[in-house]
Amino acid sequence: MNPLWIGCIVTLIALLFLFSGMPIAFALGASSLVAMFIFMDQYQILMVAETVYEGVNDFGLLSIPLFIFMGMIAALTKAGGDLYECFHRWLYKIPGGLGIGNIGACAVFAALTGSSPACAAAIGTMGIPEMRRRGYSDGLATGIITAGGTLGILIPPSVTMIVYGLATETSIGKLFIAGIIPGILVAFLFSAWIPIADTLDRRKKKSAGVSLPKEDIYTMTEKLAITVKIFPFIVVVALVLSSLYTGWATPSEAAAVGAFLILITAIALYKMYRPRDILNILMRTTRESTMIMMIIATSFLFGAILTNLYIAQTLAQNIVAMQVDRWVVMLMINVLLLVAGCFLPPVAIILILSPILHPIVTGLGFDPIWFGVLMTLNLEAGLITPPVGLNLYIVKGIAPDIPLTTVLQGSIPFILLLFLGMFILCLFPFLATWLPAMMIG
Amino acid sequence: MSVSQNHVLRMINGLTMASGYVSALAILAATLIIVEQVLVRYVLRAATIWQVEIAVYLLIAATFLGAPYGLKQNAHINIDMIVIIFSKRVQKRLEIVTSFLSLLFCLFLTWRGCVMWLEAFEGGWKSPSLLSVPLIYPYALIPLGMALTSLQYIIRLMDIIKEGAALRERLEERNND
Amino acid sequence: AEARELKISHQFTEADARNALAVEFGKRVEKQTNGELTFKVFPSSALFKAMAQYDAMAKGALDLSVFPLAYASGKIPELEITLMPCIIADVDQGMAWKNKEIGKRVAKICEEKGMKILIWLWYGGGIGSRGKPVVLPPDSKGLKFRAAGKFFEHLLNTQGASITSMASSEIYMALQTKVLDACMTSAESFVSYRLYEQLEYFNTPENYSVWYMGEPLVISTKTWASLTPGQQKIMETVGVELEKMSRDDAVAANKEVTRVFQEKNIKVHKMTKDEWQVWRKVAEETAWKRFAEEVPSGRELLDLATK
Ligand code: NA
Ligand code: NA
Repeated sequence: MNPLWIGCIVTLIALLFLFSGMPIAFALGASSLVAMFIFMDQYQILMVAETVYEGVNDFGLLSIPLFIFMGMIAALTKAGGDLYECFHRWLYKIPGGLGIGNIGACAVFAALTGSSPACAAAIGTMGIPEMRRRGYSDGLATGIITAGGTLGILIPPSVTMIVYGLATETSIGKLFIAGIIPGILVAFLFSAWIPIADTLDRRKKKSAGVSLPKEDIYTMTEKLAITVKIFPFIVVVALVLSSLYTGWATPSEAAAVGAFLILITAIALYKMYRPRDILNILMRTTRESTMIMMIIATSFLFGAILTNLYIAQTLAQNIVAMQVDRWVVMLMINVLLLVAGCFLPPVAIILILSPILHPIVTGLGFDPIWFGVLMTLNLEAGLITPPVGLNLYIVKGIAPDIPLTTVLQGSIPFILLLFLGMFILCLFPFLATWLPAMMIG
Repeated sequence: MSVSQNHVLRMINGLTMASGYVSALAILAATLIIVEQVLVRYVLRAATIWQVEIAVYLLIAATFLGAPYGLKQNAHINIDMIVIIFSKRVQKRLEIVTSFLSLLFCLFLTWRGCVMWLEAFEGGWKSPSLLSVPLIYPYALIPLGMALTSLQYIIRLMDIIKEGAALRERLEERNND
Repeated sequence: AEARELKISHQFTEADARNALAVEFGKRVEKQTNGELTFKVFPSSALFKAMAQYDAMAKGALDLSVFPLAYASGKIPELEITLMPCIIADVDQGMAWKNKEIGKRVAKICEEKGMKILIWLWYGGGIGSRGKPVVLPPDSKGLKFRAAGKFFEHLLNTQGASITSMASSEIYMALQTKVLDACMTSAESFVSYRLYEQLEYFNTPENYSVWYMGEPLVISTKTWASLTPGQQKIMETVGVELEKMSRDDAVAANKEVTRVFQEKNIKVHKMTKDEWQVWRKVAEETAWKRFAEEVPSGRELLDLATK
């Protein structure tokens, strides 16, 4: 059978399972098994346990539960509250100030980790409850984190860009540099939307007669008082950040040291020395990280099918076979990436598609570095599109009481802003190509 | 429900909680091990060999041993946007079907995990590193975690069916009145 | 007969000579079998992760692979002999294994455990580092090292290096995120994975190298058994045809890596014979000694390999 038909059937099976209400992790696994039984020989099925095991057998992934742990300590003591009280007292005059603060925090964090889910988890664990407390709508508060978290793969370092660079023989150093300006641009686009969304939300609430938290006014003394209170935490965060920038520690090491130092700080400052309190934090961390890790594990099964049956490759080849304008091809490639992004995590998409897309794109005269950045922007959108959008589930895990539909609604404007970012990048390719061109060699 | 059935239920739930605690401690242990590695490497300036490998095994433990606990706590995320359109009754039936399918997947992974473990056991397989950890230890994590997750699904299925039967009984009583 | 498609998986990039060899092998077999056998090559570990390829072949889930034998050493400890410090001095010595007792012995072990060697590949490797050059064993003190192979790791560890294990495809990310300060891997991988973007010093294998790795093109014995005798014959013939390509590629890679690293302004050092002898002495006292102690037939394999 034609791989495209097989692809359609595999996609339908996956959709059926995913939308049936099964946990994502098991839906991905079960639909992969069904697809394997139908289309693949028996030997492939015998590799299921090995595939899942090897998927998780990765030191880089350790940073995910550890950064969740670090955030959870801050969130479950008063520390997180104090930190955001500080943000709030300094930024309260700007409409949407706290939200912009969260985007800024995500951007800073993105400069320290190559992974988007880790970024969303670290900032969201503290950020979402605090934004909600300050009267942000559930949708906006979660949207800010799902979207802000995606910066993790655009602002260097980036796992996806490394995979792209290796698969396409493009300089990874240049790819990293190329991501800086678009990363700042996207952070700006996000920040521009937040005051608008927040004002609209508050107006809606006011007209519906919902009482909003009272607008406080803070004196400089109050601002400084709270800053002094959170100073130990700033020191810890600064230590973590600088350890990464100076190459003193890897992301997983920084996550561990950060979690450890914050734990010590919380024990000293917030008297969190009862074993029961620490165990409680650990159990919450387990609850949230096991879900993410299980999705990552079973997504390797689904990725194995797509690669093995040559589905994505055939689709890409069919696009090239059509004789149309190069921008039409570029549009179609992006639609393909967007569709793929709905179902697959970014690294899987790059592994499957970039070896096929790269010759097409360079053959049509596009810059491979520019395309790498454009692709990353597209994959960022994929992190917040259902049914498989890791950032959506991370945020859902942080705020389990908010319906997924609300998280999605809050995220849609940010997806559109990512499209706007892609459009701007198409109009002004130098935003991605200028800085790397300044590099020597 | 008979006394012995209750006993089995309590045991399964106890094991699931224990699995969750082990998973939580694995995260704490990974944190401490990596902190130790950083100290040894940068403060004592000594060579390290075992920390990264052990930390990754702890990550695998946290993932698979955390799964049954996560299921018990309803932490595993699902897409409910289509399901909520249906009536409560249809939703209950759908839940029976999907729980059964999840159960099948977990049982399958348990089985394949057991086979993988047996191969490692019979072959005396070790990790291809300086540490040479016998692979029967990390390979045991998938079958253990998935077997417990399967048991959790069985409990869940029994609960749904029991609830359904109670609902039907109540409806019938009302009709008889 | 009905056309049948076989899958070849490897961890190297599409531009790597080892990918070219796999593609060429497929083309020739396809032609000579009149299309009875066709091949699909999956580079960059897209189909299976590097370490999982052995399991996949043993189970029949993967047909062929360009496979560093030492990656299966956790399961077949004897194979560590194909990645032993200073056991091979140049490419020709490695290629000669095929007809020597040691090579036949290794091939037999592989076949018993599920893979059959079709073409021997021996790639030399260098030592890349940041912060300081690694010329002699003690230079590795204090560095976070990726060595490839348990006994290289043991050697370096005795010299005070911190050891992290990973597939060659993961080195770039590890250097980038400072998981590593230094690495040993094949010359071809130093170029195809663009490691010069992360390194400052390079000890090139052009003249002498302590690091050689056997990474032959292998076929799953399950797949092999399912082929007709005619198809098996063709595969063996093509294997012999491509031996020269395999040898020349590996020699060229040792030269090419020097050129590329010099061009990228990396400080390149060419190992001298005296330096090689120092490494060999340390290897005998550390790696070889431990191999002989740990692996039951270790001493015998070492004797065969140095004969
Ligand atoms: Na990043
Ligand atoms: Na998605």
